[in-house]
Amino acid sequence: MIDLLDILIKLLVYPGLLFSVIVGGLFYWFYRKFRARSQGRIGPPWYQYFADLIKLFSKESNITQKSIRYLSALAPIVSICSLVLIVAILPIGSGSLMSFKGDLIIALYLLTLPGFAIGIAGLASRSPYGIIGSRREARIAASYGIPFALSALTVAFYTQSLTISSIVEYQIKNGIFFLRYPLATIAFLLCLLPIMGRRPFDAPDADTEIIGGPLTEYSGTPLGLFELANGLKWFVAPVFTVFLLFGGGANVIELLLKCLGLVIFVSIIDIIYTRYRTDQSFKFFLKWALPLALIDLVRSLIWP
Amino acid sequence: MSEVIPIGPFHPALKEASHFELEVKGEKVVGGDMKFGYMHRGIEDLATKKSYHSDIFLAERVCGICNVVHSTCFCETVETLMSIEAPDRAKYIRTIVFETERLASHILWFGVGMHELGYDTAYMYLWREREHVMEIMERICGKRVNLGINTLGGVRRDLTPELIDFVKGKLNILEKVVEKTGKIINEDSILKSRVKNVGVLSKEDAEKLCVVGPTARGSGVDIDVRRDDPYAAYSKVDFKVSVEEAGDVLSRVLVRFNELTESVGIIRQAIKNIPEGPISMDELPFPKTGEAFGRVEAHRGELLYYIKSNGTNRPERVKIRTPSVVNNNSLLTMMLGEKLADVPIIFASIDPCLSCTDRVTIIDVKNNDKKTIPLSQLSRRMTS
Repeated sequence: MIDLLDILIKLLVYPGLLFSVIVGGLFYWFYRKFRARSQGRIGPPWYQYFADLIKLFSKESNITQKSIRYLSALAPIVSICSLVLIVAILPIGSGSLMSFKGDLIIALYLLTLPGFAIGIAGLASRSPYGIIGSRREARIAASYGIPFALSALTVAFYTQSLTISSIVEYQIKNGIFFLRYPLATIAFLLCLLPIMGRRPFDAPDADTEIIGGPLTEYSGTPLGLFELANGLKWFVAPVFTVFLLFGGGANVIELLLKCLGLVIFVSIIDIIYTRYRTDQSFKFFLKWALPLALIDLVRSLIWP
Repeated sequence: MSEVIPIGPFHPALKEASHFELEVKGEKVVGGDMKFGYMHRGIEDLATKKSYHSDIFLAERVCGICNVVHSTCFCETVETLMSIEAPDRAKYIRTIVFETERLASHILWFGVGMHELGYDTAYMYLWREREHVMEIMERICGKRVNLGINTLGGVRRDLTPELIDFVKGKLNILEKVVEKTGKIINEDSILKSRVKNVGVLSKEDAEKLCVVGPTARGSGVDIDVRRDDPYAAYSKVDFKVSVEEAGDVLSRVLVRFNELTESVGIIRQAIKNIPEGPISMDELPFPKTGEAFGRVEAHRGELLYYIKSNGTNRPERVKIRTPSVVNNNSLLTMMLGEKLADVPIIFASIDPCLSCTDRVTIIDVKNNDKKTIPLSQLSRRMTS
């Protein structure tokens, strides 16, 4: 009974849902503030993300008649669950909640699930903007999938392990993988941008073209859940990268500082670049990210 | 199977009220229809019910971003009817304000274009720097948007030596802004890949569709009213008309960019060579019975005023042909075969101004009344 309570607290409070949402929300705020200040704007206050959440959850939710109702409601929940599961797999704070052989593969899959959830949400809404947004999301997901997996597998091949905690331990002993495999790291970071939905790969929700993209028809609680998932993403994506390639952290503070570094990187890219069309981003990933990931993968195979 | 994407009348990409129905296959645009008329205000009719002097203010309110353009054109046309000419100093001041407004309009356009491409940083930067242009306008005219500088037979405010120094200082800043804008356009490879070979309007099509202004010059049609039929003080200043041959969005961008440089040059020359003398006339004659045409090069192209006078203090007929009326028709030609992601920037590339368009298309809207019933559209959308 106490075990169950312990697991629930770990899953829902620390380092699970609540902690991740708060940290992710603050990272998201940091990105918005940083972006605003570098554009000569003032930017939102630190509680903006949480205020948005409260507002969305307290509002009436309209689901259009044409939409597939259960899919519309299910999509954000899938998104949140997959992200919380990644947090459970990662050894944040005092060890991981569920570590098993091959959890790296599971985590990689789970990290791409929110993208699919957004795609499903757009299709389920049956709005032309939503459908086009989903199509773009799917196309971008297809383009970053391979370099993303390959650059993660480079690390797995080198350590001969598919368990995240052993990869982290190896890095603590022998130095971080960023220095050993810089090309794979760059490829991985490039794939992080579409996962977090940032420029130049934010075509799925290009507001000047297709309004809200897949989330055009969403309102109230379902939209709030997607916003929650968005905040989670701002924590999960950097923290996963830090564990995989930057050696994790001796304590939570070090971990979060490393994550902040990644958030700054993503923000700067977002600020200085304009948006790619989907076909251009597809080409970009095949032309740049895939070769970079491949080179380091081959290196890890030949010189282990 | 194609589907219909409705764009507008309310859409984040279109800051103005118009309705597009784009047929898309996947992401490719295969057909479309556009509908204007949401902003009809009956200005041409109203103009015949007001005196010539009140019509200046009405003309200014045809369009917010090109109000001096409209008032200059109206005043010069009425001056033709009166057989008078504005004093030289007034003409120079008109030129200065005219070009300042072109700077304001083009910088605003660059900002919007960057926003459509998702480059919000450049958009914020340009709109911040646009404030310098607004300050010039505020100091010269006393207002920021509807400038109210023109009057029949001259202008209403004079330039003082301190003001000239102020404008010179601001022009130095603006030159740097223009330089930086050029850097953004020329050096950002992603930006270039989004606008090159997109929305091509060939020279033949441009001539067939009678497009004007930067849209025409971007397609290699060498027309500019400022050079071809000089008004105000344009015959006394030196400037180049920039023409690009490619006809894509990039060439329209480059044409506007070169016009920024030229505008700064024109203002500099006008300020330097401004003659002394009166700025307006003490007495104005009545307009003679007859009709007159006037045209100016607005920021979007040639603007045409036709005024018919019956000898009273009110015009009998005012006809306004704004540049967007002709430019809008070229939109579908540019969009066919392009990707949906490129539609906003193609739309923005002609810098459409719909509030002035809708006034002129009223007759079409009346004739095709049945077509615009919303119910038929609604049923079409349900079945598609």
